[in-house]
Amino acid sequence: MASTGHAEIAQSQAAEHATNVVQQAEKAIHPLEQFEIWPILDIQIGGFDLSFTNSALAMVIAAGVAFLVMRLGMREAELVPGRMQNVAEMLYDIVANMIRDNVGGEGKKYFPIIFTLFLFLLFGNVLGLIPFVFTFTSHLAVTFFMAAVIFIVVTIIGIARHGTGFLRLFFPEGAPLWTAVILVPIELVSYLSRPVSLSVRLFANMMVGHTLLEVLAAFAVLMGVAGILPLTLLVGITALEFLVAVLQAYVFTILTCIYLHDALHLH
Amino acid sequence: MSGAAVGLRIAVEILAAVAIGIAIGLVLDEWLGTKPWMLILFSMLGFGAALVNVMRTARELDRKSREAKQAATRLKTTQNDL
Repeated sequence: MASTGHAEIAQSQAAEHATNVVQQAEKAIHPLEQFEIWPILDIQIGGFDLSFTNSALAMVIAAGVAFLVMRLGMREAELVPGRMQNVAEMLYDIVANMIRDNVGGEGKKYFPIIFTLFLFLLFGNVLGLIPFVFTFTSHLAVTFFMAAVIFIVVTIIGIARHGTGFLRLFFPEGAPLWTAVILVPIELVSYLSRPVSLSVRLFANMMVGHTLLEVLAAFAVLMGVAGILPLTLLVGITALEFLVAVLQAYVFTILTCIYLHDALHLH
Repeated sequence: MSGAAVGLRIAVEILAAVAIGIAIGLVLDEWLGTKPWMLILFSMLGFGAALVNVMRTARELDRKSREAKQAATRLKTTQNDL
C-alpha cells in the first residue's frame, strides 16, 4: 500500500513540477518584450502623441555619449595621442577614408552630416547591447525615417546639381533608345527601393540579434544544469552581435556615401 | 564581410525591390481604378529591379574583394623585398 501512495505522491509532484515548468516558461520567454516602447514623459500637442519615450531616451544617451567621446578626445590635441584622442582620431579616419573612397573629393562638404550619422548609429547599436538598454535601431520606424530623409536629401542634391540631367541616372549609358520603355521603369523602381533596403537591413539585423540573445538567455535559465550549453553559445553570439552592431553602422553609412556619389556623378 | 552578411544583404535587396514594385502597383490601381493591371505590370518591374539591384550589389562586392586581394599581394611583395 505504501508503495502505491509513494507513486501517487511522486506522480502528483511530477505533474506539479510540469505545470511549474510551463508557468516558468511562459514567464521567462518573452523575446519581443525588449522592443516595447513606453512613454517616460507624456506630451500631447494638438492631438499628436509627442511623448518622450524610452526609445527617445536611448537616442539622447547615444548622441550624448558620442558627443562626450569626441569632446574628451579632442580636449587637448597632442602630437602623441592619448587613449581618448586615439579613439576620436580613429573614428574620424574611418569616415574620412570612406568619403574619399566612395564619394570623392567633392564629398568633403558632406563630412559633418555623414560623420554624425555614423556616430549616432554606432553608439546606438553598441550601447544597445548593454543589458536593459533599449536599442532604437531595432525599430523600422526609426531606421526608415533616417533612410527616407537621406533618400530625399540625396535626390534634392542630385537635382540641384544636374537639373533635368539628373534623369540620366535612370537610363544606362550606351543602351539603344527604344529600351528606355523597359529600363526606365525598372531603374525607377530600383531607385525607389533604396530607402527600403537601407532601412530594413539595419532594422532586421538588430532585431534578429537581440531576439536571439533573449531566447538563448531564457533557455540558459530554464534548462538548469544543461543550460551551460546555451550559455556557451550565448557568449559566442554576444561577440558576434558586437561585430554586427559595428558592421551595420558602417554599412548604413557607406551606402549613404554610395548614394551620394551616384547623385553627384550619375553612375 | 562574412557569407551570411552577403546573403542577407542580397536577400534584402530582392525583397525591397519586389515590395516597392507591388506597393506602387497597388497604389496606382487604387488611383486609376485599373485593378489589377498596374499590380501585374509593377510586380514584374519589381522583379526586374530586384535583378538589377542584385547584379549591382554583386558587382560592387566583387570589386571590393578584388581590391582587397590586390592590396594583400602588394603587401606580400613589399615584405618579400624587405
